[in-house]
Amino acid sequence: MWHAFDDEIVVFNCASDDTHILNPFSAEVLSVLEERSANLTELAERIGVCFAIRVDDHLEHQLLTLLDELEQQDLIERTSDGESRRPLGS
Amino acid sequence: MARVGDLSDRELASALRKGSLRIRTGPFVTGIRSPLGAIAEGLRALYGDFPTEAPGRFVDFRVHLAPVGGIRRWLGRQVVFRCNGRRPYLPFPRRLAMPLFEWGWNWCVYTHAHRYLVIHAAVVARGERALLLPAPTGSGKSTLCAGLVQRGWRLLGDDLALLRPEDGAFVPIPRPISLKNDSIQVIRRFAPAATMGPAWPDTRKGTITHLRPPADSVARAGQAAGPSWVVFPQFRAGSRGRLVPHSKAQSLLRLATNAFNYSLLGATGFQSLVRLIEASECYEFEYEDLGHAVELLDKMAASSVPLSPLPLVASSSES
Repeated sequence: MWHAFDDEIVVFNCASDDTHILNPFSAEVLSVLEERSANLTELAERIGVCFAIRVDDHLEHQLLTLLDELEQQDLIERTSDGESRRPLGS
Repeated sequence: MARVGDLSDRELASALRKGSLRIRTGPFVTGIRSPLGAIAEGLRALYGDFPTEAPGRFVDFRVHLAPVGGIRRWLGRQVVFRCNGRRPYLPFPRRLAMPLFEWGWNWCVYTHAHRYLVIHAAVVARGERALLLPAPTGSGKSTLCAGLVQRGWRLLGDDLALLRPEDGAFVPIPRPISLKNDSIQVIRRFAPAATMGPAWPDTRKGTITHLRPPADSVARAGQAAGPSWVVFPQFRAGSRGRLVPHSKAQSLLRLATNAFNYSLLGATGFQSLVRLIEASECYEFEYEDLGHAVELLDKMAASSVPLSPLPLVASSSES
């Protein structure tokens, strides 16, 4: 559950009852994963389309760091294949 | 309906001994039983304008303040607080019976009143527009709240703010304002005519006293107010006083950590805060001089137009 205050997005994690503030990029990643779980390559492609940016190693590295952070905050989890991620509890 | 102040000393003491005294504080009715003269004196001094309820009415909090017997009485004259049969604190020195009642009553609210989001904050109102002052202990929140109500703001609560999820309004619980140490003299100078109860030195918080809530605020305890401003106050020596706009997302997060039952309410708590923040201007506020602080907040209130509140809870956030 989330709400946007201008360029800050507040997310309430119904599984943990924790509240987080995300920037628009992080929120878009979470939103994309809510639509459909994705591995790093798929996610980079979809984010590239969303923000009209080139998909390259730099973007993938940025996404990998972000996914680790989101995972540490219990906002996402790995799917059973171990490669894809999805929002926790979805 | 009789007010506490309408009862004679004998009637008040008798009702307290029998446990038949019922005081209405906003949406709550508290039944009080105590043989202690200090409780009768404290209630008369601070709760004189509060309405009583007839025995037999539903009681939310059944409070009992009793002298401690048994072996503990050798530790000095002590008093114990119970609410609905539970005892949240160890016994206190009997001279602190009235402060214990105040602390205990707060405990009753934040451990029971889960139909509301209970925020650790003062709330005052201009007309039907509420100003929320969330802050930890020691930040000058109660001093500022006392100053504002002495200059015409309506008191909705000093230490606890009740946010009603159904409509996003603050439900008043106007009660005595707790003042500590230097704040006592600040308010005496700022409002010499203000009525204060007895002062209790040498508590764990230093010297404390209570400011009697304005009679008008007590009489209008049934009138909720919609949120308009969220101001995080901080007393700072040397500050010239300034209101700085504060991020709405950060404001929400700070309120979430200041609410007693945010996690317990889950999504309802989150949606209530989203709605509150959307309807409010948010500021951080440093101040030193109380008079100047009140002027600044008066100007803020006079110059702002209401923001559109969000519709009801179900659609207040994207999900």
